[in-house]
Amino acid sequence: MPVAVDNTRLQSQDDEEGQFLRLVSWQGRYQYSYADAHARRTDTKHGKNHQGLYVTTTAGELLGSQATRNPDQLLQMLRRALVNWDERKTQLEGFEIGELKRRDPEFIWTYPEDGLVLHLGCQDLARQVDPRPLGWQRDAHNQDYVWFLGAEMRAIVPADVSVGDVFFMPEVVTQRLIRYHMLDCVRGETPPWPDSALRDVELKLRVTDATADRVKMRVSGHALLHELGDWCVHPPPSSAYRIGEMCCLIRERGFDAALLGYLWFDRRAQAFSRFDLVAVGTRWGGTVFNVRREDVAPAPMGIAITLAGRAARDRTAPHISHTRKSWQRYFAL
Amino acid sequence: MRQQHIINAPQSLTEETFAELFATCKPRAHSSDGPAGQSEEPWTEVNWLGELWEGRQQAAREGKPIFIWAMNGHPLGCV
Repeated sequence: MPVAVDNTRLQSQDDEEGQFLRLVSWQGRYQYSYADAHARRTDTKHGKNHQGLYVTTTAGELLGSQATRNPDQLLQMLRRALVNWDERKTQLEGFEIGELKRRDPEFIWTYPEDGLVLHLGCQDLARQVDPRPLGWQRDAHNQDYVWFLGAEMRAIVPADVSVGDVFFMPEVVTQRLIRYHMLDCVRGETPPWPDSALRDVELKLRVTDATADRVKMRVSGHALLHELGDWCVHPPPSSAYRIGEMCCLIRERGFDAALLGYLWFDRRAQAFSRFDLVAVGTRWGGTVFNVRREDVAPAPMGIAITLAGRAARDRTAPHISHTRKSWQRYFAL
Repeated sequence: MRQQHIINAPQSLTEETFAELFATCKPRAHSSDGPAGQSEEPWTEVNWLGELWEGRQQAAREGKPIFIWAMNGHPLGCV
């Protein structure tokens, strides 16, 4: 049964679901016995990272574990796990696992059923001078989801508009798009921009077609984002130092981008039938986890946003929503 | 602030370049892209469940082991 989960949430989640992940990961990543892992499963202040690839019985008996990017190693682990599955000692059956009796309130959020859900992609763009070595970092791309509540979505399209009208994007929409989604997450996660990082931001809409049924708009603008910081990055593998013994400091990050897009709003359905937006510009610097240690010089990056699909995975929450606090900040609640 | 001399300048974003840049940057794992089995991202062809408890329940009902992909960030979103 393949399950993809957000470890940042689960490793701290104070309920049975979080306990189950930790029961497995203490055995797999940290090689505790089942008894020791079981004893530690309720500890949410452990300070350890539990991400990994695991195979387990429904009772939490570890069958396999491997931290790898290599598909061949993963396949070997899965094959070993299936051998262990044949020799398992435990497996709970369906009637033995009910609904969660309690869900940790720090980690509850709701998909905006009547809102606007967008799918974002980001990646580095072609460079004229490119000394980057071949490998995953050169070809990296990432994705995220963007959520707006129904009222926020409808505020983008005023009731009475005519062709040629020009107006600003609602502030709440601009802030969400820029602070939480104009991010360099090409190689890995990075925090949202603080309000102070927004140096020059503007998003304008121009109506290009308006009927009783639909409104078509062109959105354009720019964003200059810059933040100073002290981001401590792990030393490179070639270093004599190990993780935790030395910091490679990155002191700033920035993104100077132009934005352009096309939005079609269906007045009868009260929904967008098109929401295509592109941001292209120069990024520089980095943060702790976005793997820019050797790539801090200014270089081109692109971000594209479009309507999300209807698959189950398209209900995945935006990256920022790890906790109730970050969720409230995202929606300015 | 940003260095004044940029060796690698970005491509201009205009109405003429929009389609090409959109195609380059859009999410490669978009669920409306092509029939199953032809995705640019093979991992999207797996029917991942996005919640661990739901996966544990379903594995128990079907008598199967659980394969957990746990990342900092959600593997089906941004990691």
